Amino acid sequence: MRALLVVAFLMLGAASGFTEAQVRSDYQVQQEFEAEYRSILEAIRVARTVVECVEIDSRLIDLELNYREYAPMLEKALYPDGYDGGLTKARGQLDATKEKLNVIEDQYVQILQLETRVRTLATEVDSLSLLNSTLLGELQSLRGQRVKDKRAIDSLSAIVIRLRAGMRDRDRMIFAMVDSLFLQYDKDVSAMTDAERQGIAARIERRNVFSSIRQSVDDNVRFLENTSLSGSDFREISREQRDFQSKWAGLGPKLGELYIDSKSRRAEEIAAIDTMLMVWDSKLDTALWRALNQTFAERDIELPPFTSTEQFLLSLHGYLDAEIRSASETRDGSKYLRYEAFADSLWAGEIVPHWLPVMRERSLLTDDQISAIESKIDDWRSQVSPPSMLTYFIVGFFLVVVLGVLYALFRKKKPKLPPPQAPPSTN
Amino acid sequence: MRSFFLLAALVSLSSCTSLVLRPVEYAWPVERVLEVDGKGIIHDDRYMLTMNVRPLFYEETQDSVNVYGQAVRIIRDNAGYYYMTAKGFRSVYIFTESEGAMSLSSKVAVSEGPMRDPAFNQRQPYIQLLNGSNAPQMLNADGLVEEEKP
Repeated sequence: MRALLVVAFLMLGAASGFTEAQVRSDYQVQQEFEAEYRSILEAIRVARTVVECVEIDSRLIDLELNYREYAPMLEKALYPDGYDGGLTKARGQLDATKEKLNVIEDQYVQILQLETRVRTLATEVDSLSLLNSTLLGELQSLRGQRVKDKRAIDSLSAIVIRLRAGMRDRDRMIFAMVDSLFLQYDKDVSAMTDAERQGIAARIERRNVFSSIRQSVDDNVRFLENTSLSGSDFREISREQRDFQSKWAGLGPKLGELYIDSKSRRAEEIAAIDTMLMVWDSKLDTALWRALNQTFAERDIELPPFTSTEQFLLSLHGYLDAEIRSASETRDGSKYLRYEAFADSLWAGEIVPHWLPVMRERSLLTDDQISAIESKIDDWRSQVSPPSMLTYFIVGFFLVVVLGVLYALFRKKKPKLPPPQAPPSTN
Repeated sequence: MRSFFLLAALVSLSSCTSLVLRPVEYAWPVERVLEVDGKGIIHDDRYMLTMNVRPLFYEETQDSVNVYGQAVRIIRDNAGYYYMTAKGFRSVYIFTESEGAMSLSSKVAVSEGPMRDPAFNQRQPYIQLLNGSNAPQMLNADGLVEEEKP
């Protein structure tokens, strides 16, 4: 009975892991460990610089971390040194190489700190990528259900907030990681030796820099396709996108120089990332126009749909012209209410503070175009506004003056009566 | 005197047959993947094992000629049984050691079709058989171990 339970447990364990990925055999794990271990020993043998020693140190730490869960199996499987013995042996050889190269400890520690940062950031980028993928999946699923109840909407909002924070952090970390990689060499790529170029290229591969950048752009595009955002959200997202673009503009040429003489496909991939960034940029504009259409529709302002600056201006000017015409022909109070709904509530309340800044920043609207719209809104106002107090005052003043003049004239035209005669005296 | 020798012989014989050393761990931590040479032989340096596997291939495929370069996967469980299989096999063969030979203890049918990517894991007290994307199976010297039905 106990044995059966053990089998059930082992099979359940195997099956649960199995549903997610194919189970790796112990032999495969051992082979992979041994391949990396042999490669590290070879790197120790040929190491000539401090940076290479730091890189090897870091690879040993990675090896230990990545295979920690298999340590008991590997301890028995690796013959004759075992797992711990093998790592100790490699570290001993690395120390001997450092000694041989007269590595200055302070310099070593400084570079090691940068490499530790690279490793930490790489781990965080990986875990954030995983989290972001899960959240994007949840977001798509919730949007697919077209949720209506408050709890689901709250949950959707919470996902969007977490996702945005996760993507922002990941983007920042990728570039910080690459910065720390290049900083260790303390020189331009053009001044690097071939060995140094190969070394940094290998480390870029090992930290999945290219796939992280691609993943990041992909996730940002998917996010834009699956969320409805407000104008102020767009402002932040647009800044993040521009920030990403400018960091890539700094990094791309460095990477290009690194792979310029190599036969690696990475040179083509750099161009592909440039294209992906352009797609991201245009998707951001598309999402912005979509959300702006939605904003007008939610306020019952019926504009013909627009997907570009020209279409937007055409729709808006058309709407304003029609309203101005209608205001001059209508005599009831509804014309003022329509003006108020557009100008005070939507334009001044939402478009001006939340949408115009991002549209200006993204060069979707110029100041002249905005002035032209606002001047038309002023025309509309003049058609619908009730007279001001000053007008009443001036009209009242003129009335008083006119009445005064009339009164004066009326008094002048009155005929003079003869003075009264004194009564005759009786003496 | 004669009875003394008889008694001494009996005592010595009984002590020989009853001496048992326990526990013994025969288990290999990880399977060995051994390539068949041109003579149908596999050899393992770590466990100092050399054997002819032509009969094994003949039993499975009825072909003992085209065996050169094939990879035989072999693992030993804690009780000392050897489990052997190879890519394209439908069965796992369980052997015990005998004098200068390996004797088949049981042949366990594990797959309806030829296995594409078999591998053994040591999962004491069992041997786990993986086969690509198929669900893992548990084995012992008696054959497949079924999961307990609730």
